[in-house]
Amino acid sequence: MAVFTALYWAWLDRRVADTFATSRWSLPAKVYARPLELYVRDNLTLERLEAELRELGYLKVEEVMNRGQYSVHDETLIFYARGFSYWDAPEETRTVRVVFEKSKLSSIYDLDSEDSIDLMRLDPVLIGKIHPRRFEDRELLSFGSLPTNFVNVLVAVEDQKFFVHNGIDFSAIARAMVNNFRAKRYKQGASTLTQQLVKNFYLSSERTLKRKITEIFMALSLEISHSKEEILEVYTNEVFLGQDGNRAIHGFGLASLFYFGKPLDEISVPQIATLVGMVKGPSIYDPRRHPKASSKRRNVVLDVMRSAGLISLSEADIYKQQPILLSQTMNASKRKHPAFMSLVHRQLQRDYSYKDLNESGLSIFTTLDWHFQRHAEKMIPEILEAIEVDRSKTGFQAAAVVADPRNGEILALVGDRNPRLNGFNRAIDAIRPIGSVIKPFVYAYALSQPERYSLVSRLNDRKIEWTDPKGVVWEPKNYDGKEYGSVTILEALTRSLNLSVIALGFELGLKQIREYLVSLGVESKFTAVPSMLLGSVEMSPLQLTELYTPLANDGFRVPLQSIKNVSTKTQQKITRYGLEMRKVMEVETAHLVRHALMRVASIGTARSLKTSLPKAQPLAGKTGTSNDNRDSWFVGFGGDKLGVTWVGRDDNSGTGLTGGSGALPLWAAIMSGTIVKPLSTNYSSKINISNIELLSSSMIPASCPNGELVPIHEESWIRQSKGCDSALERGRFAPVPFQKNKIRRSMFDRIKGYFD
Amino acid sequence: MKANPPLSEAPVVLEQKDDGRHAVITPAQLREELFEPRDEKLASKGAIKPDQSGGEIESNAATASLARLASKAVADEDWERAKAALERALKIAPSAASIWRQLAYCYYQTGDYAQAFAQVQRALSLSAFDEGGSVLNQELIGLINSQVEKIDSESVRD
Repeated sequence: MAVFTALYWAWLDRRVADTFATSRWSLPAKVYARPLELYVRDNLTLERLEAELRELGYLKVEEVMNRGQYSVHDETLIFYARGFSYWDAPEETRTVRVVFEKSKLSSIYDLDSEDSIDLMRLDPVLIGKIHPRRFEDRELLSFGSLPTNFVNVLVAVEDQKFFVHNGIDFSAIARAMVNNFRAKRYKQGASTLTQQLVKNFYLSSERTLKRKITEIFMALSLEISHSKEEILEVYTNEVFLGQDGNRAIHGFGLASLFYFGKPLDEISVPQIATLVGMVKGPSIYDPRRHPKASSKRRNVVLDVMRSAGLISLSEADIYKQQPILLSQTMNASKRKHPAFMSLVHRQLQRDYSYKDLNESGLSIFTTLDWHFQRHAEKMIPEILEAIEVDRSKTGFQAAAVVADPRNGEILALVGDRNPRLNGFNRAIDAIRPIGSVIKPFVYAYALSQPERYSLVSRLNDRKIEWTDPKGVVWEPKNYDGKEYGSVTILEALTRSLNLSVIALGFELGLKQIREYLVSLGVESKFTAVPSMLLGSVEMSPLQLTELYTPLANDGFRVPLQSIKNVSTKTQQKITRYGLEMRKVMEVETAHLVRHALMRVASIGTARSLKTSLPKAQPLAGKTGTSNDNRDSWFVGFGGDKLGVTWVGRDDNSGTGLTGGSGALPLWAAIMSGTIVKPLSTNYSSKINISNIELLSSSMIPASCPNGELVPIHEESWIRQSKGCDSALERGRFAPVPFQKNKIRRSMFDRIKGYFD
Repeated sequence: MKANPPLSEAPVVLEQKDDGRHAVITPAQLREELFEPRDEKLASKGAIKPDQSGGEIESNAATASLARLASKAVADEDWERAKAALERALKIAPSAASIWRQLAYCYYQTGDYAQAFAQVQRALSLSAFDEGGSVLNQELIGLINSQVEKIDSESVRD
């Protein structure tokens, strides 16, 4: 018998030691939005900063005393930053004062060290988790990070002798036996925290003597091999505290966030009492589902706290009066931003196993601007409904992608008019003909040969017929059915003329244009036929966004990315997704096309942007409409944002919309939710700004009022006229003479003038 | 990886090798020139000029703090940390050619020569605001090309 007991003990001991050491739980991966960077800048408002803090669960107070609080007085915001251990540069916990002047961030100051802060990051907003269908979720806390008053309350309520017993509290057992005997039923338990933990960890919930004995042995064993601190830490993280759909809420760290939207060290005494009270029955004392029972139970805990001397009688009375304030934000277990998350997921699946993603508690830092994303999600149904009412039609769908063209970071992405729906993701998977948004690239190919073409080169806008090898005749028309005769490239692109671009395409060679498009990174299959020039090429909104990056980024194509880096649960870097780019066109080509697209957005097919987004000017953009108005496209960019919007129908029937009447207003509505940096009007030093008389494509003296300032590559030859009237005096062809900065300056004013 | 333009298309410095200058620069010397400029004139290379639009000038303190972070990481040869700091700086000041060069150097150090070259090209595209940066650009290209040639000749031997 003694031998058997000894063996049994050894086996139990081994089991406890092994699993306790390795039983670090499966943790879902956490997906974060990009953190807000604070520095002296003109594109961050106090309202935006406040929205970020609210989303992070910071509490607005009159005077900031504790971590996780903030206050706003006039244009000054003070907050007690939680800090975050970013792998590359950790952020400390500190009290920070941020001052805005005329809605511009003007100074940041550390109130603890009394130093100004050059740059800091807020903690990142959690936008989702990656997990199996049914899963346990927790927010791990170390013993050292547990607030003292929380530990005191937990011990007072659940196991008063925790720090002195050796796993079993015999006096409590005796007391319970007496009470249960008096009540003639099982009323009171005497399990220590250690026993509760053993029970949760290793044993079934049946109430048999054998199980009870095993539990006692294991508890004793656990106490021998582990410190009180370790046991309490594991208990705090293990305990079950509620159910949220298919997610089980475990541990006080997550429970605090789930019920109150704040970390455990920021919640109030009555909130701690509420959580500790839930240990006894997580579902019957759930403050969301059973608020009365929950508050009654909380008050019992407050009484225990008073008798343990943790609070005074008057404090207990005040706390009992307080309502239980629950967080709204953590309530939704529904997946947010499914279109963006599915993109993140696709990238992760390439690089990580299912187990890594679902179980090892990775932190995934994405590029999403959650605030802007939410705005985009709100605008899509609003604008579509407005269009449908206006056109007496229904069933429109939409997609939108917005990225920073300088680094490819995706800021917002929507793939359905119902942004909560995790279905067909049109931003990534709807491959549609892109219509006229292809044209800038045909012109880019021409302008990449500056000795042959400039923005004022003339094209013949006349009807043509083309018979394909099968004998089918193709007779393209301009959108308004007219012919414009001799026009400049600038004018042809501004009005999105079809006949001009076809004439140019034949001049350049269809095969060559196809090759150029492939060199820019067009991956779709397409043949070198004339309809290619009008955008029969099919692409997804995401692909189209990437195709436009070089036009918005000095000729450099940047792959779009949704993930910046992945770290372990202790914030050690695993993978960093760095900047990647490729020069696909000369900076001069990009600048010339950019100029033409700025003209489109000021006096051309996208001129309505002037009134809808006055502050973001100058902007560049291009509308696109596919055959029979099936697809309405708009691509536009400012200095730091490039966006593509698409409106159409899933069954591919006509919408009656052009790019200008469908996708363009949607683009403008989405962009109104952020600050778009105006486009730079700096040009490469090989580009000269020239005063051009557009009817004759002649350069006229700078003082002539009948010209337009047009950027011309220094290798382009332009007819030079000495007087203002170029028709009277046709000058000779010559390279454009270099213009002094004065003209460059006035160029900027003139462009500004477009928008006045 | 996506196809990058062959490095031979670069405005090759190798032709200038004869003057001896580009042949003798070592990675360590270039690191010093890029990350620890000794004289003021060098320090201001590629610095943001007030005539650039977009208010980048105001964020100099922020980029300077990231530059310090990057320099420290470079001293520790922690290239990924240095890249992270520099890419963060470029978000604030995308037209700072000097930061593009520093980034190119880090990519060179981790053996990603195509990316390093693309980043020097980025610095070159900003040459209008990059007074005095052209020597450094050429030195970087020379360094990158010498590695690429070494790899080429080794692969021929294999």
